[in-house]
Amino acid sequence: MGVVIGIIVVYMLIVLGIGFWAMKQTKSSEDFFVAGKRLGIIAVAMASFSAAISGYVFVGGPGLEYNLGIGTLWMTFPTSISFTMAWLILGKKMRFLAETRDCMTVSDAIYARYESKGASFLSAIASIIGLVLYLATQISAFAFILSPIFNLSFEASVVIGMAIVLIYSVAGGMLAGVYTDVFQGSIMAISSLIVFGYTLVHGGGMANMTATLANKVSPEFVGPFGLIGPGVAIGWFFCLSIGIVGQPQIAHKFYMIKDPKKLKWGPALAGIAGMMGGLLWLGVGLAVRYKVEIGELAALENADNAISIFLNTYAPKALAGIIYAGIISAVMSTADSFINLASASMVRDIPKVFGKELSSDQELKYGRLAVVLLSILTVVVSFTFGTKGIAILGAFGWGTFAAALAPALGIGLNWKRGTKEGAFWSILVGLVLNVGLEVSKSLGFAFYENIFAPLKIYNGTLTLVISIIVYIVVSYMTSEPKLDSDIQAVMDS
Amino acid sequence: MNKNDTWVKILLIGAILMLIAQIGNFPILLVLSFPVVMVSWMTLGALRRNKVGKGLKFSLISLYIIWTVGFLAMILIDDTVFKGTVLGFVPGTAIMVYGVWILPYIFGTLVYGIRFDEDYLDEDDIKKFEKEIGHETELH
Repeated sequence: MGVVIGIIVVYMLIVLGIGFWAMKQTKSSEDFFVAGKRLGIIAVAMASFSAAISGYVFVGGPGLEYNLGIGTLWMTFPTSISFTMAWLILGKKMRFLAETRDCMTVSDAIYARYESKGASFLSAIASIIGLVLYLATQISAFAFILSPIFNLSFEASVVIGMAIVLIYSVAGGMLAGVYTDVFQGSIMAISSLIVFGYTLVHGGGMANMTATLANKVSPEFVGPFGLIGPGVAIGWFFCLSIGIVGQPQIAHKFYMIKDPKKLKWGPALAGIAGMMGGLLWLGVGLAVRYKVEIGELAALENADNAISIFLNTYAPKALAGIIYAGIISAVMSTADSFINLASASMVRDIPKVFGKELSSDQELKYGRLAVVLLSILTVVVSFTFGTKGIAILGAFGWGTFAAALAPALGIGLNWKRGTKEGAFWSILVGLVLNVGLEVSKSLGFAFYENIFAPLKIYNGTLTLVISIIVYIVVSYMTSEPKLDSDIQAVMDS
Repeated sequence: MNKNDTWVKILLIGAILMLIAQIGNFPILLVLSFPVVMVSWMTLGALRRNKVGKGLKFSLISLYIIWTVGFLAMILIDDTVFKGTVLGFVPGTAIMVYGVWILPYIFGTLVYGIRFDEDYLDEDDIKKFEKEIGHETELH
């Protein structure tokens, strides 16, 4: 363990050094929330990759696959195309929008497009709810890595993890998150490939693991839909693909890019990194389950420990140290981005709706205070949902954003007939329905068990589809909007 | 005629079919409808001056075929009995990994990058945008 801890310490010092440098660069709220709108394509692509996956893929993914089989990969396989969807549908429009309006958040874009305080307010609320869920996913992943290394309880690890992220976020803002992402995202992508190699070696090859698990668990476990069935699997693929256009942590990164022509190779970079992360999910979940089935490992008490058990047992200590440190810093930088986005919603979007605009200095000051409040909320959500499955918690956050924001943003910026009423109702219906269904599922409400559970579908997809229908139908039922000339120019681009 | 309106109507039809498929538990209908929604939505993003460039058109048609054929094949292949592996996986999973996972990167993501200047954004678009908003920008 000494080698592992040593590598973690050195790695974390590098990450903190990047954060400290970023803190020195952070002089205004624009620096704090959108990295000064001066980033290159590698920074934006790697930050998007990290924001889309990190702890959710590296800790939650293998755990989910250990339990439910290969079908769970439909949550990560969209990365080969989903970034292209975001870049194609939103990239140019969001970047051009930032030239005509003072946009820093997704709610700013919603307000600029619809001039609706109601839609803007709801999108800010959706952002805060979804981002806290995502933050809890990251912090829980952090805790699952930290607790076995330092022999701490899950709850203690959550509090320590949140405290570290808090210090980091308050100091560095968005710049710290983005530049750390470039460093740790690259290392994690390459390390994932190496870990995948180890899983093949220790599992006797993919064909051997497939055949053994088909015989000892069930043929469906290694089939394309695993034990979850086609309805949920296709739902995950759909929502995790096209639902990307509703993710504020991806969408607002288009504000940050300096030259829009550099949008060219962003999806290729982010996509290849995401696919390498997918290999880790594929390999570790299968290899650990294989080792359990042949009796070499004891069955896992909590499936989210699959990654740490594999690394501790089968990987060289140096590689384990790099992966652990990589996951921890991935969680830190991603959580940093999320927490700063959520605080932007609290101190910028919501006051704006009520006609109060804060100065840049006030936004910076109250933004840091909001970060503290959000951290407390995140700890509570982590305690409540963190041990029920990290990937599932991540899917809850993703589905909330997709259902609430994807139609208003992704269709709205490409269709002039979309109206503010359509945006308002689709955000409201998507948000309430998705949160309502997921909470009912978690609490085991009878109506959910009787009506929705038998459908065997992913709530995020059901609510996204309903939200799309609501957006288009309500838009057709209400008067055609008169758009400002600059918004027309953005949409014509 | 504005093509965005047409594609939004196609998107709406796809979404309604997806809703029916999920509530009625019709996996085949779900497989046939979700690529309609994804491709029509991507087409909205790809439309420039009311048309889709050649490269992106090829990309969108390829993606539609990969998703529809790939998922239909996976649904129709019986995976309840183990009959051996193809390139490390059972046949349905081999389609999933080598087809539905990797091919979209080649036919979607790489084609977008290769055809970016011709089909998505060039210097003329930025000049046209600046002319429409009436001032120069930092986009160059």
